[in-house]
Amino acid sequence: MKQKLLLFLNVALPALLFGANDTADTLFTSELKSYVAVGVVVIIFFIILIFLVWLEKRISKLEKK
Amino acid sequence: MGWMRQMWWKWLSAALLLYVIIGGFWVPLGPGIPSVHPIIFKPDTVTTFSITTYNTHFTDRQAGITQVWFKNVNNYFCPDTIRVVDNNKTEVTFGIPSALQDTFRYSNFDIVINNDIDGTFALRDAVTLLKTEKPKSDTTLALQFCSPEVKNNKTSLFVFPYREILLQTIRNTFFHVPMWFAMTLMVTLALIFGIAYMLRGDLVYDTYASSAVWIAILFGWCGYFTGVLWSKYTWFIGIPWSKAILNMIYHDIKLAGALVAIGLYTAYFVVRNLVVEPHQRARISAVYNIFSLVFFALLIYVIPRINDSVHPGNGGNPAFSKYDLDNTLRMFFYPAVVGWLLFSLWLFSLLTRLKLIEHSKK
Repeated sequence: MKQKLLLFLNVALPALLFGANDTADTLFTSELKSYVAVGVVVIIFFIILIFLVWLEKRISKLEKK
Repeated sequence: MGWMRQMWWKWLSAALLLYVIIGGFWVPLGPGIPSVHPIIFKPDTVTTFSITTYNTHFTDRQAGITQVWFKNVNNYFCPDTIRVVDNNKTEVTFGIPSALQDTFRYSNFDIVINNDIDGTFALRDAVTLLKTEKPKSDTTLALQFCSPEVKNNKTSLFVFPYREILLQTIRNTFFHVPMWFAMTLMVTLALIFGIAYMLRGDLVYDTYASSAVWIAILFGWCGYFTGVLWSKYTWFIGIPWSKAILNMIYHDIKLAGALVAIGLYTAYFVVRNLVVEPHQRARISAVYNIFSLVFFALLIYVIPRINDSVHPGNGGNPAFSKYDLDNTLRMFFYPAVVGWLLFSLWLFSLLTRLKLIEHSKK
């Protein structure tokens, strides 16, 4: 479990975020991986956005009360 | 629909950030040279160098003829032969007669490549000439000086610049740098609202100031986290996380200063919680904000510039804008700055309104 977590922190997470690697042969050389990486980040962004819009509507209602 | 129209700048921030995230991750990295083998060569021997390149188009018909040069200081030398293996690999043969070895004061050679699609790109100090102690005078090897002629120095592709060490992490420019800009905006707002409270005595300004500090801390941590991740994959490659983090804190003034600055603003809430009376708390917070901003500016912008630091723009290092921020990066960097600043203002407005509702209920 610890190994998997370390692998995720050391390799997968930065690769997902920045495509960072020791060599230039990275995430973005693979089209499929780049779709996945961009997709994951966009989904996270949309979840945050939906939460903020929900919060915005909720606050507007509370302000009217 | 009214609230939708009122939110235009919030939608703008969301649209800009979406553009930055998709474009910033999707645009490929430009052509570059990750490795050359061998990296050392001896005089009087014709050496075959295998050059591995990245995102290059050697076999593409539109690329034209791929040219390779060995560059020593300001002199260019042509290899004897150039053989394109595939799109990302080429082999060149090159040799230097030992009789001429002493004409090179600097033993390292850059490798420079050009074609019509990829433009000109290079690997600095790619190979080293290992000089012999007994130079031969009867060598048949000839050294060819070149005067490079190219159609285009810039790549015709829509790509981010390939920078040694940074490589793919250059995309972090759109996240790490604007995070600190957003934090700076928030701490400045906190100072302004703190002064406004002292001038007018209205507790609303204190609410504004404390919300701004909350958002500043959030963006501070985001900036720090992206910075830690960036440094781990550029400055501390191959070093375990534990050692890398200790190095960041103990050996780099900029990174340590950033951590202290975040701690300084976290202590703001400790100070606030120690005082119960609202006006006294607001007065102390306002004064604390003034001192904090002075220390924040010193820790983030002044001290790293007068001390040694590996961080770009500090300790005599060039900042990004001078060498690395090319026009493709600018297309995403400026929207990223505007997007993140607006996003921080959005979070600030939400938190402030929530706090004001909470206060009105009391």
